[in-house]
Amino acid sequence: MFVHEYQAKNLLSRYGFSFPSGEVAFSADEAEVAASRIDADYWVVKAQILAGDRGQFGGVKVARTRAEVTTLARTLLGSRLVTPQTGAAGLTVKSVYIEQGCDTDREMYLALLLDRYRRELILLAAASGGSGIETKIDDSAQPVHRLAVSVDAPPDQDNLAELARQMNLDEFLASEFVEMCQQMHQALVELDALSIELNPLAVVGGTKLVGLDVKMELDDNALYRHEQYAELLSLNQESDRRLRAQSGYNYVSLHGDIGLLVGGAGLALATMDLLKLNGLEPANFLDLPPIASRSNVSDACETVVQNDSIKALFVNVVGGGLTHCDTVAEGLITAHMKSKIKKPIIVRFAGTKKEHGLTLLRNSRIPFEMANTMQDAVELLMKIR
Amino acid sequence: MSILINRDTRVMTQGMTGKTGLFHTRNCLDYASGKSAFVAGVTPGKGGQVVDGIPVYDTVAEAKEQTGATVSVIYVPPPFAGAAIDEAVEAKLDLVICITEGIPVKDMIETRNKMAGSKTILVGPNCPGVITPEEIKIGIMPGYIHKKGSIGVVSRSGTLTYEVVEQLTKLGLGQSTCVGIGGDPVNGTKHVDVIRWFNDDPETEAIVMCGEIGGTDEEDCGRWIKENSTKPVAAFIAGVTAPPGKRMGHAGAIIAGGKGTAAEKISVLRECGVQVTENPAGIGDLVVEMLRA
Repeated sequence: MFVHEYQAKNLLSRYGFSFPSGEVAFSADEAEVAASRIDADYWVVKAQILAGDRGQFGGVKVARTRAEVTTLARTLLGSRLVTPQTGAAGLTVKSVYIEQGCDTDREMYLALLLDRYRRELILLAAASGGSGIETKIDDSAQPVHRLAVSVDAPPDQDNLAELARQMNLDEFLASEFVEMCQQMHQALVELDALSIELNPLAVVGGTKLVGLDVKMELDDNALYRHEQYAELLSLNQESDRRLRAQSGYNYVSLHGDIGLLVGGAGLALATMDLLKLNGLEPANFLDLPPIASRSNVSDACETVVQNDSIKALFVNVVGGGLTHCDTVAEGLITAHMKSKIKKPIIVRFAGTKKEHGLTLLRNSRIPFEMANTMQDAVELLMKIR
Repeated sequence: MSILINRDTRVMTQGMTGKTGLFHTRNCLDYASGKSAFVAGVTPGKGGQVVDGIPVYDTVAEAKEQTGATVSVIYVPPPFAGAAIDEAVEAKLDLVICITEGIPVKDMIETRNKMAGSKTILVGPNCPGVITPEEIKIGIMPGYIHKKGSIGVVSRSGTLTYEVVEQLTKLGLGQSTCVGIGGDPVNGTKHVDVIRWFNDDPETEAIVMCGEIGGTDEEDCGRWIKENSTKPVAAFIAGVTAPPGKRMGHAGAIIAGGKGTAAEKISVLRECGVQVTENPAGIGDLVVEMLRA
């Protein structure tokens, strides 16, 4: 999961990183108090949403006075911010981060992340930072320097010094840079983070490296060894219905009119592709947990049909593992009895306990429409539309 | 023949006495030659027990020594799964199939580092396992949809593998071996490894590969096929229509910064002579066509 900027800064500050002083606020009143506590010539009010490109799309504002902080916070809080990374519906701003304004001499880019290809860590550094850095990675005019780093040991001093040289840092800043890279490594390993990105990483007052913005992703699989993450999860979950994600679902909301309930991520992706290939648009995408119980399925079904724009629900399950078609059938029947789903439900079963599942559906007297293959299901969906 | 496993393979289950391990081991016992194939269980502290006629040992090394099993399948919960793989590697098993989903990335990187120089093959984690139809099933896939034959299947996703197998079987095309390599970003065997084994297997006539958005494994595989493969390969890449930046289930299935998109993978694969369909319901049909050509 990605965490908010203020959460990332909190988690990272104990590793010795330097950030402008700041406080999070969930209301205009809190923003006012925060501003009164932060000594600065000017302040930056930053919308806390779990998506990038906030700056270019109105999510980061500069306040010249403390009163202006409160006004800006009031405007941002509760508003919906749309950036290229949020989807068309945007994300609601639930909190703002009030930060000390900070003049920079120079802005760079520094990130440590998992290199999925090499299955190791990689340090990325560029002499100039800012948004859109992802697209510049292959741009030779502005090289992004790469340094392979092991998980087991901190990055080598000499290699880091060389990297600092490539970044055109003077001797003093170079030693600070080397130290920062080592802190980043320690933080990533200890926090079970998948990526830490300082962008921009600024030179302030000629002698100091300050992280102006941070993006950090934590490994969902490692939540069990970090008790403090449960709180972050509960604070952040409303965006994209993280609540559901927490109970084992992977739910993604999209913009079409077919609700999709599928067992397994790969099949879910493929089902979405099949719909689009036939001119149908999924409204959402819910991947059942690997061990799906009747109540899981029932909750999942209700989550998917909650969306008013849905014309039909397509349940595509190939039973295997601990997801069996009969359990899915029981869950669908339960959901139907609980919330009287009015929309047509197309069910395609295959694999483990297919026949038993189909029998349960038939005996329920609920008008499920059964399809033998994905293609048959799509044809039924096209008729409904 | 087949790849990786056959009716003579001897298997131990790590995490045998847990709910998941026991459930799936029982299903595997009931499949084809399962009763002679599954010879040991491993659960630390439970050595000496006998479950469903299978002796349980405290360690992998002991299970190997006592029963001659050279393959293990792991159902151990995520916090302990990395260590379970390490133990199997240290015991010099030939093949370790890790079904466990949800192992922290850091643990898997450490485990992979420890595997450097080892001859043990790791399949998974977060995978459905491996099946050689009508001989042996090691994993959680529904056995009955498979049929013995000559199509090799390799996929990152479990349920998508079942989908492909079902299409093939309905068309009368049996499978030599089906391998689920798992959806995690840091895993053992990659597409290209499995394709290489299929290419060397005289019983495999054609290969089906199912990929997904994210990473560059499918592209690497395409380049290997172009240079080396003597057998026709059909491919499907899931996630053509996935919105960028959204995590679509598998940790691997995420598009970041324009890399690993389905479009890019499909174009590389086609350039490399791989037959690619964009219709997930038409994978079986593509294989039929390919074999006719």
